[in-house]
Parts: sequence; structure tokens; C-alpha cells
Amino acid sequence: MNFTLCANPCATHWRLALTAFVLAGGGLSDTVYGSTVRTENIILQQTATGRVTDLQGNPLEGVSVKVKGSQLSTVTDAQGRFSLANVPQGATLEVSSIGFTSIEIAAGVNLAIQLADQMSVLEEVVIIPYGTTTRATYTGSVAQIGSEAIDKRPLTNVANALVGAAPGIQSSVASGSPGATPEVRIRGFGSISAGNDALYVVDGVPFDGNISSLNPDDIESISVLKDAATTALYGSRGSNGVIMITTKKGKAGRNSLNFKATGGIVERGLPEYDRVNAQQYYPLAWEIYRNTLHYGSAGIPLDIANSIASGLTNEYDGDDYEGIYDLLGYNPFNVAPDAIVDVNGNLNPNAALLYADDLDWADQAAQGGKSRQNYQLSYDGGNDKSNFFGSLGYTEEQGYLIKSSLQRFNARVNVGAQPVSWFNTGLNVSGTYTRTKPENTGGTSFINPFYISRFIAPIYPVHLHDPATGEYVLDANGNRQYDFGDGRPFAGGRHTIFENLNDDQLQILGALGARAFAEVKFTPWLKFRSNIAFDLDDRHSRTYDNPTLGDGAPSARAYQNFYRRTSYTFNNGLEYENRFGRHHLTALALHEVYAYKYNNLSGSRSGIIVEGITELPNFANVLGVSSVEDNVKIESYLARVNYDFDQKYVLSASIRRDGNSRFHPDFRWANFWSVGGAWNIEKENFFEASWVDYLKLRVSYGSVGNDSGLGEYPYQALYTLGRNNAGEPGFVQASLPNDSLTWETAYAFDLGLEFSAFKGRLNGAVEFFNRETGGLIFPVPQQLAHGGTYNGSHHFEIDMNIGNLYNRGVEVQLNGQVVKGDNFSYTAALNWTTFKNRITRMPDLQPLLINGNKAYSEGHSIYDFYMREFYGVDPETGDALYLTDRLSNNARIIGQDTVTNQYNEANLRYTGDSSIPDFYGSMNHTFAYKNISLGVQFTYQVGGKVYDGAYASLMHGATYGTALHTDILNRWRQPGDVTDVPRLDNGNQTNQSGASTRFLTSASYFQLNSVVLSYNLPKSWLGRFKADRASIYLSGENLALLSARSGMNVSGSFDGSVGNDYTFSRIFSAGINLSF
Amino acid sequence: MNKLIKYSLLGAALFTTMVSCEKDFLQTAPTDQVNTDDAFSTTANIWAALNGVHRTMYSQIFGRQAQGGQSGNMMYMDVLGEDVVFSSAANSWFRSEYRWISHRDATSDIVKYNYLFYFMIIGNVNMILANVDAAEGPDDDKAILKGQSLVYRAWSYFQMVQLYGKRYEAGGDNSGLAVPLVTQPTSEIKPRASVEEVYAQINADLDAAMQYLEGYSRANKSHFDLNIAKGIKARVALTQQNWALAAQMAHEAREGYPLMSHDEYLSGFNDYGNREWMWASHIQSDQTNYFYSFFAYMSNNYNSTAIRTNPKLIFSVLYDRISPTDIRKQLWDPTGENEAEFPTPPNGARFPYYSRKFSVADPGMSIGDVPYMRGAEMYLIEAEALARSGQDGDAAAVLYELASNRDPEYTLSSNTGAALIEEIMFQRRAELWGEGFRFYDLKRTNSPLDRTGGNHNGSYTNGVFEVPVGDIRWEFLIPQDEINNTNGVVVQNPI
Repeated sequence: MNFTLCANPCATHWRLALTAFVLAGGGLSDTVYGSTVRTENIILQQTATGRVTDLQGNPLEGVSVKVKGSQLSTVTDAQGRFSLANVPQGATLEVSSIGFTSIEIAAGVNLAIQLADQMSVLEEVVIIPYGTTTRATYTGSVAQIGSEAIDKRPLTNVANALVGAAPGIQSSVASGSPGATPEVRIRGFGSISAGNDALYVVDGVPFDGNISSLNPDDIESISVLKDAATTALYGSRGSNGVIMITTKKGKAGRNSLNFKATGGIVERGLPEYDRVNAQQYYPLAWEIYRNTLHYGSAGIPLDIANSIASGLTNEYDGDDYEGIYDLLGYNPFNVAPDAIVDVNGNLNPNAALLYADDLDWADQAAQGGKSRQNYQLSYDGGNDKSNFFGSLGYTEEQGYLIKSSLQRFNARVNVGAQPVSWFNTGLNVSGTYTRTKPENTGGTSFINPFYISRFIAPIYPVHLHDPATGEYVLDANGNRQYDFGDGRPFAGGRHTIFENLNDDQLQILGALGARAFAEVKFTPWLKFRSNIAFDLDDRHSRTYDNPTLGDGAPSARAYQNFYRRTSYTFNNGLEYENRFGRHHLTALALHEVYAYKYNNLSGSRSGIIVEGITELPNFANVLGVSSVEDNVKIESYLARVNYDFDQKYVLSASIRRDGNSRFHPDFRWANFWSVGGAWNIEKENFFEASWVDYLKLRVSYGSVGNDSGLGEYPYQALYTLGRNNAGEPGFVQASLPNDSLTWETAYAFDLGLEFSAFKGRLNGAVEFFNRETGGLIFPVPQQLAHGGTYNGSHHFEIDMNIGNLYNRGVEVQLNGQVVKGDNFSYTAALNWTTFKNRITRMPDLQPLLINGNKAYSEGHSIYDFYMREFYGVDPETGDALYLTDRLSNNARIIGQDTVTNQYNEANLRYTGDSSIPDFYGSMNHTFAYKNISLGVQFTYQVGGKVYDGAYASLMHGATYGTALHTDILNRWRQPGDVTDVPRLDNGNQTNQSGASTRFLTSASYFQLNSVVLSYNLPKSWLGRFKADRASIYLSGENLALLSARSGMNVSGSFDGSVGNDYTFSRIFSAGINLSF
Repeated sequence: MNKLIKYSLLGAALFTTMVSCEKDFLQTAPTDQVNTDDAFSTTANIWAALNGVHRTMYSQIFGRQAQGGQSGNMMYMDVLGEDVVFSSAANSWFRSEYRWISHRDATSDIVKYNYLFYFMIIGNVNMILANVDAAEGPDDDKAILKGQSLVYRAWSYFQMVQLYGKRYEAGGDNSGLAVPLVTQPTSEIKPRASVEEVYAQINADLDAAMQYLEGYSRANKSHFDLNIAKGIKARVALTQQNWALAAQMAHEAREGYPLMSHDEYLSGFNDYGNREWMWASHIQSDQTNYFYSFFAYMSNNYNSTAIRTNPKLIFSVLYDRISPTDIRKQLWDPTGENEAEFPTPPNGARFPYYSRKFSVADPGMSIGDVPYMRGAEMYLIEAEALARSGQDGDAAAVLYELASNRDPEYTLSSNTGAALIEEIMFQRRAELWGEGFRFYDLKRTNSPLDRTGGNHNGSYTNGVFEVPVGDIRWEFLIPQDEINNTNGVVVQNPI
């Protein structure tokens, strides 16, 4: 008897279990039945042996081989071999494995059995909430990713396996920070202000921890649930889709030990923007300054302005002026400061750089460890009473940025036991310990190396140099010293590299997860199951800011922060399954409670006493001490019924009632439900296309809720404590009430056609989805005059359920085995998604809500750009011109357009652009030749726009000492110039380079995400290692990105924004897998 | 297998499956916040709501480094004037304000801060005013809470009306738009009220507050008592050119606040214990204001980038006019070489006209108290109001009290008329340098900006040396967010 325990109640296994239960006669008639068999076999027994491989000839391990009509069974070993004694003469063997088509074959010796792989989707086990089902009887839409898609890629974070995995899954490319999690959106964007993140479910239970604490090598499969028929069972948390992660478990009948080691190198994956060099920069800065003097408020005649800018004139009309050198503060050339740029704006032809090798800040910031290594040891095994899986893993990734690293230790034990036939239990415990050095990236902080290295002008050296000779100025120990640059107009007195090297940050994360269940079978068709899950997630952060330079100066400061997240889910349910002839019915009724608790304790002090010690008592002054606890609770009742007739007609329905602490008692409870149906057409007698293996039409409809991203107490009117006035206790207004706030509710419709043809060589699915979200929560911004808070959103916003939107689209997935030969095969998988996102109802009082460079209104998507429209450059003045809707003193009419040179007069408007692409998808190609295989994954998106804010900041001269994009070489210079780059002007940034359509850029891209080349070592080589199987492989991640502009991080977000972020890494890795 | 076991298990299972949680299982509340109902249940709690507003006066606003509560407004007002001078091109904080660019950009920080900061205070005190009567507690407390709240509301509107509206002209047309008038908690969208209406509300609030605060003895200088209400009333009256009232209120307000000694004058302007200080916040180390401190921009000795690379100087034209025997002359170093008396942070740049008016007591911490109202200002208001109403002799006498304290050699002014007014305005500039009055003074006196003839550098001012009276740039733009959030009910100033 062979069956496996799993952390979820598994429908397929129920069937096995039921069979076993019946055969065993309730556990009492075992000997009687057994003796009967033995009697028969005294004369007729034989031993059946053989080897099971896939169609490529790779041995299949863990395949069940069972004598038909008997309980005799075994599983294949790592070489795919099996041996089964006492098989009756003339018996038939049933050979089956999850993910493969089962076959029956006459018993014999040295059988060579080939199983067709998961192209035969019919039998595929599908993991769904609170259970499993098979592809044929599933009425919803799911994408499954198996461990084989994960284990050879150098993924520190398992969520990276979702990138490009299936249609309907849109993902950002994760940042280069080791262990970073990519953003994932399933079937569009269902919410404006609540969250759009999918719900992560690990081993059957919603997971509140950090996805990066999961060990990718522990993952058996990831199921992405896209439709309401399935996600409705997660009720108020299911509307953004559900990502179900299932960890590995032991298989009965085998024992194996696996070892894996990989090592690799990490480098910056995205180049920096194309920027001008020092020789180009100085004359441009001169021109910016000259234009400012001449065209700006000073109105200085051109020739005098030229002379002032060159540093040759320092007084005009009684007022003092400086030359460009004084404004930039640095002269990187070997000529006098007033001889760098002449009065015609040309660089001195004799000017040579003094320290040309020390001007690249991006390069010097990218001096991290740049390596990755990963070791995994796992073992598993089992028999008919119990099974186990254990793993140990160590991952170390050092990013390309200085002091950016992650070290992670993982361990997991998953055991299952069925001591008696009616009782089944299991425990899955995992622990993770992670040490990371977080980075100061994102935003415009002076310590963000990406911000500073991108924008610092190419004339400022990283280190101190003798201004005359250009030689490095060395300290007493002969080391180079960093140039703090007090004289720099940009980032003066700060040094991102020095500060990042001398400040310290450390995060220690501990995560503990436990899932346990117990199952009692009362009758063959009824069982009770109890699940309890507990997750604990601790983070201890320490920060030390040095006293020499930066935010910690002059006396140094230290922070410590400790938080703990705990959550538990406890549910109890009755499960029913029975067959009546060809009717098959399953049902589930369950009660669940969920509780989440967050605690945070932090303290900070300044004024270091003894150097080198960063514990808080070593600092003189208390800066702050604080703590907080937050709680969220959900209570639920749910029920589900599934019915199928001979797997031909399938019906399913579910209902869940949720109560949620986030909402006012009067609006706390709501019902979510779904119905679904499927029709396996190929099973119909009238269906005669024999080349079609599988053809299923399915449809589902249901309601799901969304409570994410709302905070813990969004309905309550609150005052923030701790705003004391010196020693007097104080609090301030924090939020306004809305008692009627409740979930957003999405009604999702899904219609899909799944097919498989030519013996599985071509299969795929076409799906239509329509998710209409109602009660959309809008943070309706209140008039500023009604007050606000000095942090957060500043002015008050009240979350209100007013508004509707839909996401409607089509997904196509095609998998084909294009070439199938004895030695060579080529498989391609293509996926493609298009969807339309539309707001269909807005608040009556707020028909248009502006949010940054977007706006929400009916008939538009949530990511439609709403901004000023750039018209062009006035050839006479070099002024930037914008479209406006009114004629004023500054405006005029050109052709059909009213244009103005006053940015504030130009009206905001929909520009017809959106960050949502026309379509997106991925391509996976797998080539196999004998023992070698090559897998290549591309992702793409076509259409949509990005507002390239980083580029915009490189395209103006409003700050002396900041870098310029090479496109600025096309600027307007004199009357008559026809160009689209306005006149450079330091005092006129808003008008000349304010945010407008000028910086909208195509968001189309094509990215080479992953390449894996692997080689299975021939058997003959393995003997000496006593190994069963060994493979070596090479892989690369994020190898190339083609987009409209070099340097633009187009795949980093969904809303079409570009920041100064830790751009993605390229990772090359080599590894070896050994199985014993 | 015992059927009894199975059936009892089944019974237990059915029970566990169907049982629900306790009723309050789903009731959660925050631990670092308090519900509004509780916040206003007693006068003791409402005191905390008022102290929260006092704290706002020195809290970082909207996460911006330049906006450390009220001191942000003070620095913006001086940077827009002529008496604070930028020393270099380094460090960008306040640079575009110095160039008169930002307050004419509807999306800039300065525009939003000066609007929402004051409306945030008004929002909080409106909640107090709306709820205090229903709270449990002594009537005396309620009166004080109302009085202080009304002073806050009046003062906040006064700060804003001067920026977003046109200058008040006594007897003139003051129907131009100022800011919306919100006097109770509401969600109703309000259009901008006129300058006249806003001043009427300010005066009504102050008059009511003075009734409530009669006889109140405050715990410390962060609170409003009758003197402070009168001091603010004096400012308002001066701005409305109501000279008699301004002189009277200023005179009454300064009672009990004698002028400081010369030693105190040179002690760094960082301690609200100073006897001359009337109204100020006190900042303690566990409420530190980091780099958003006033002293991170205006002191001589705190180690911030702004102080190290671009310390703010005094306008040489003003400095040169100060008498050598005046203690105030010692606040600035005309040579830029006086290392002994004018310490800089390590590696700090040094410039002529370097200031030491403001300095931190402990160079390792940015904290220091900031004066919002001092006795000297009341002398100056009284003298100016008397002079402008033609009472030259009385005006000179009041001025003498202040000026002779600062300069022992000072003799009673024999100036009259415009010359006397001019002398008082000079004394005001010298006395209140860096304390946030200059833009307001220029606007209320209808004076042009004139930065010529001194140490302003055209490269740093972007050529902005002069701004004539009547220029539209004297009005701040309304924040774009306000126009957006009200769907245009709030309209923009002329561009």
C-alpha cells in the first residue's frame, strides 16, 4: 500500500486512501485477504522488474508501480528501476506518477516503460485551497510551476520563479538587493488604494512572513490561482489572486540523499544612463549659467554674460557675480579656473583632466562582494506508515553594491504518519535565519549611491586630489582619502561611498513556520481534519551612523529596532467524498480563525562615548524610545461542494463568510461565493477528433474581497500618542472616521478552453477573464484647509467604498514539442496576455482624483497619465512650450493649439498614455540533446509608457553640479534652432523642464531573463562516487534588456515610474547536483 | 476500532467545526493611538490634544528637512528678504526660495507647507473648540483650552493671510481672496474667503481668547497666556495699520518681560528661559529635531552641511549701519577671520559677515529653543505704531528704552516723521535678524525688496536683487493639491 501524506487534504489521495481502506476491510480483515492472495500465488508468482523513464529517456524516480486489482505496489528508485515480487501470472501493472500519464502494461521482466510527461494535463494534480483536485475536474484557472523550474536557477527568492511563468501573471524584475522580492500582479490591477498584491499561501495557510525567508530548494510546486472559483475560498483576502506554495515531502518506498552546490558571480544588470563627460560638461554648465544671466531676471547683455560666465568679469551694474568655476567649485582640468571655458563657450583646447580615473562614482559604488553561493542537503524517504523530508540549506549572496549582502540558513523537516488506517497526521516545521546588510537605496537621499552616482556631475572626484597636480592626497598611512566635497554645489559635504562604508546596518531575521494537521476518518466517505499553522517572523535591525560625515555627524548615533510578527490560523473541517456509480461528490465544511499580531520596539541614542561599540548604552543622549502592537483578526465559515459525472461534467460551488477586525462591527461580516462548471468535451461519444487528447471548456463566476493595504484600523478616527510638548503629554489628530468602510468586492468571471492534441505534443489554453471590482476604496483627499498630519499623506484622506473598475482580458498559453527525436528535442512555451483596466464609477463629489502624474476618472485606467502636455520648443527663445486650455498674456495660438511658456498655466490633462502595456508575456524554449539540455526564458511587454523621472532629472540645468544626459547636446542654443530640448536655464527649472509628456517614454521591452544549460553525467561516470544521478549546469539570470532608453529601469514597476533604485543584478552561476 | 471513540470524535469534530469565537474576538484597537471619542472625554485629555499642537510647533513637517515646525516659516521669511545672505553656491536648501522661485510654484514645498502647516494647527484646535464643552472637567480648564485654541487659530490665519492674500490696506479694498475660513470640523468644501473676512475672524478669535485667558498663569512659555494673545493682537493691528491698538497691545503685552542683558544677548539665542522671551517651544534631547532644526541652518556651530558650506550671513548694508558700541554688532564678524569668537564646525567654511546670533549649546546635538516672540519686538511694534500715528516723541522714548539697552552710547532719537519711522525699521531689522519677520515686514509696509549695494552675489540670487512693490510675486501661490482636492472651488492666485 502506498500513499502519501500531505499538508493539505488532497482529493486524489482521498481516493487512494479510500481504496486502501476498503481493501483493508476496515483494518481487521487484512490477514484473511492477505492469505488468500498468498495461496493463489504459491503456484503462479513471478517477479516483475523494469525501468521507467520519461520520453527523453531520463529515469523517473518515485513512480508508483501497482499490480492491478491488488494491493501490491512499489515505487521506482532514483534510476527509475523497480522490482516487484510475488506478482500473479498474467497480471497487469499500473504505472503512474503525478504529472505523467498513467499507463497499464502486462507484468514482465526488464520492462522498459516510458511515461508521457505533463503534456497530458488531464491527470495533473492541481493544488487548490483546502485540497487538491485534478486538471480534468477543476473549474478554475491555475498556473502551476514545478520544482524543476526553480532548482537550477540561482534564485535567492522563490518569487522570482513567477516572473514570466504563465499568462495573467505580470511581474516586475526584482531589485539587485540580495533576496529581493519581485512585485507580482495577477490579471490586472484590481484596486486603487487597497493592495494589489496576491495572497501568498504556504502549505495551505496564508503566509504573513517574508517570502525571501523561504528556501527555493524546499519548494515542490507553486500554484497561481487566478479566478474567483478558487480564490473565493480565501474570501476577504482572495481578490488579487492567490499564490500557493507547497513544500517538498517524503515519498514512500524510496530513500534518497541529495546534495547541491552552486557558485556564481553577480554584476550590475542595467547600465547607467548615457551621460556627458567632463569635457562636454563644463561648456554645458557655462552655457546654463550664461543663459541664466542673460535670459533670467538679471537680464545681463549677452557679451557681458558670456564674460561673467567664463570668469573674466565679476561685476556688472554694481552687483557682484562669479564665474562658472565658482559655481561648480571644482576645476578638474590642468588650466586656470578662468581659462576653462572661453567667452564663446568652448572648452580650452589645452585642458586635460587631472584625475580622469577617479570620476566614475557608479563604478566605485559597485564594489560589493559580487558573488553568490548556495549549498543544499536534503534527504527524504518513507514507507506505508510514515514519510519524511528534511533539508538544510545555506545561501550567501553579495550584491554588486558596496556592503550589500545576505546570508541565509534554512532548515525544514516535514514528517507524516498514519499509525492506524483511520488516523493521519503530519508536521511541517521550518526555520530560517538570515543576516542581511540592507542598502540605503531608493529616493533622493544623499546616502543612496544610485542617486548620487547617477546625478553627480562628471567633474567631481571620488577621492581627494591635489588641485594643482591631480595627484591623490594620501593620509598618514599612505591611503587615499575620500573627498567630502564641501565645495560641491550638489551633495556638498556628503559622500555616499564614504558614508556607506563607515555607517553600519545589519538586519537579523529569524523565521519559524509550523504547519500541523490531524485527520480522522470516521467512515470511508467522511473525515474530520484539523489544521493549525503558526508563523513567527522576527527582525532585529541595527543602524550606526558614523560621527565623521553624514546624518550621524558630529556625534554618531545608533538605532535598534526589533519587530515580531506572529500569526496563526486554526481551522476544523469535515470532508466528504463519495461515488455513486459514475457520480462523484465531494464536500467540505469548515470553521477558521486567523489572528495576526505585530510588535515593534525601537530605541535610538546619539553621542558616542567609546569608539567601536555600537550598543545603545555607549551613546550619551536618548533620541527616542517607542513601541507598538497591532492586531488583525478574521473569523470565517466556509463550505464547498464539487460534483462530477464521470469526469465529463463538473460542477463546483463554494461560499465563505468572513468577519474582519479591520472594519466597523456593523460592516464587518460579508459573504463571498463562487460557482463553476467544466465540460470535458473529448469524453463525449460524438467527439471524434482522435488527434485531440483533451478538450475542456470551463466557466466560473464568483465574488472575492480585498482588505489588504488598509492598515489595521482604517475605519477609526484616531489621535497619535506620544506627541509630547517637552514634558507635557500630547497627542495629535491622525485620521478621520468612516464607520461604513468595508471590503472591496470583486466579481470575477472566467471562461477558458483547455486543449491537448497530438499525444500531448501541442497543448495550451485560451482564457477570457472579467474581474469587476465594486466598492472600490478611494482615499478621498480632503480639502487641505480641513487639516492634516505632518507625516503620512499630509492632508487628510478618508477611505470610502465608492467606485468601480474592471480588468478584462484574454490570456493565451501554448506549449508545443516542436521537435521530438531520439536524441534531440525542442519544446517551446509561449504565453501572451492582454487586458483592459477601466474605472467605471467615481465618487460623485470627486469625479476626477489626481494622483501624482496620473488621475482617476470614469473611462480611464488607474494608470492613465494626467499631466501637462509638452508642445515643443519655441525656436526664437528656446522656451519650452506647453498646451493650455486658456488664452492668457503668456499664451498664444499656433495652428490648432493654444500654447504657453508658463508651466503653471499649462493645464493638466489626460495625455492618452498609460503605463499598462498593450500586451505582455513570456517565451520559454527548451532544447535537449542526449544528456544536455538548454532552457531559455524571455519576457516581453509591448505598448504603454513610462514617465522617466530619472531621465528628466538629467535633462535640466537647474542644479549646478548635477550630471546631464547626452540628449542635452541637442538643446536649443540660439534663435532659429529647431529642437525638442529647451534652452538650458538654471533659474527657470519649472518652466523649462517641469514634469510633462516630454519625459514619457515607451515602456516596451524584451528581456532575456534566464538561461540554463545542464548536463546529466553519464551513468558510467557515477559508479565511482556511488551516486545515482549527477548533473552539472550553468545558468544566467537577467542577461539582457532591450528597451527604448539605456539605463531606464523599465521592468521595475507597474505604474510607469522610474526611481533611483538598486537596479537588477545579472547573475552567472555554475552548479552540481548529486543524488545518492 | 471502537465505535464509541469514533462517535465521540465525530461529535467533537462537529462541535469544533461549527463553534464560533467569542464576540469580541474581532474587536481590535491600536496601541499607539487613541480613539477620538476618548481623546475628548475629559479636559485632562484635551490638554494632551492642546499639547500635541504645541509639539507641532517644533515637529518636522512633511518629512522635509527645511521645515522644523514654525522655524521653517521663520527661515523662509528671512531668506525671501534682504538681510539674510547666502555665502556660497553650495547646499541647495532654501536656494530657490532665496531666488524667489519656489513660492511662485504651486507644487513646491514652501507653498504647501505654509498652507497646510497652519491648517493642520487650525484643524486640531477646531476639534478642541468643538468638543471641549461636552468634556468632563473644570470650567476653568475649559476656558483656558478654548482661549489657547482661539489664539492658535487667529495666529495661524494671520500667518497665512499675509502670504496668500494681498497686503491689508486700512480703509482700502480688502476684498481680494485670502484662504478658506474653517472654524469647525467639517468635510464641506470651502472657497477662499476675502482678506477682510479673514482679518475679521482673526480679531474675533483674539478678542474672545483674551476673555478666556484673563488671569491664566501658564506652566511654561510654550503656552498662550493673556500677554501672548495681546502680543499677537499687536502684530495684527500693526499689519492692519491700526496704530493706536497696536501700540496699546504691544505695551501691555511686554509687561513682565524685561530686556535681556548683554551677556545674555551673546549667549546663542537657544534657551527659552531667557527673561525677554515671551513665547517659545522647549526642545529636549529625546524630542530632538535632527537636521530639521533651525540651528542646522542658522547657527554658527552645528555640524550640518548647510552650516559648514553655506552659512547664512548678515546683509553688509545693514551690518555697516549698526553702531560699533551696539552689542548687536558683536553678533557678526565682518572680516570672516575671527576664529576665536566665531567658531565654525570642523572644516566649516568662513565668510565675512558670519553670524553667531544663534548657536547650539552642545555642538553634538542640533537642539535649541527658538523664539517666536520676544519683548524687544513689542517695544518695536509700540514705537513703530506711535511713530506712524504721528506721536514722534512717545515713539522715540519707547525706542530709546530698547536701543539704549542694546547700545549704551545710544542717545534719544531726535528724528521725526519718516526719518524716525526709518530708524525704527532699521532697529527692527538689526534686532530681529533671523527671527522670521522680514518678508512679512516688507509686504505689510509696502516696501520693495532691495538687495543691492551689499554682499548679495548675483550668481546665488539668480539676479534677484530687487522686487518692486505691487509685483505679483508678493503673493504666494495656492498649493496645487488644494485646487485639485477641491475640484477648483479654491482658485489660484494670478500667475
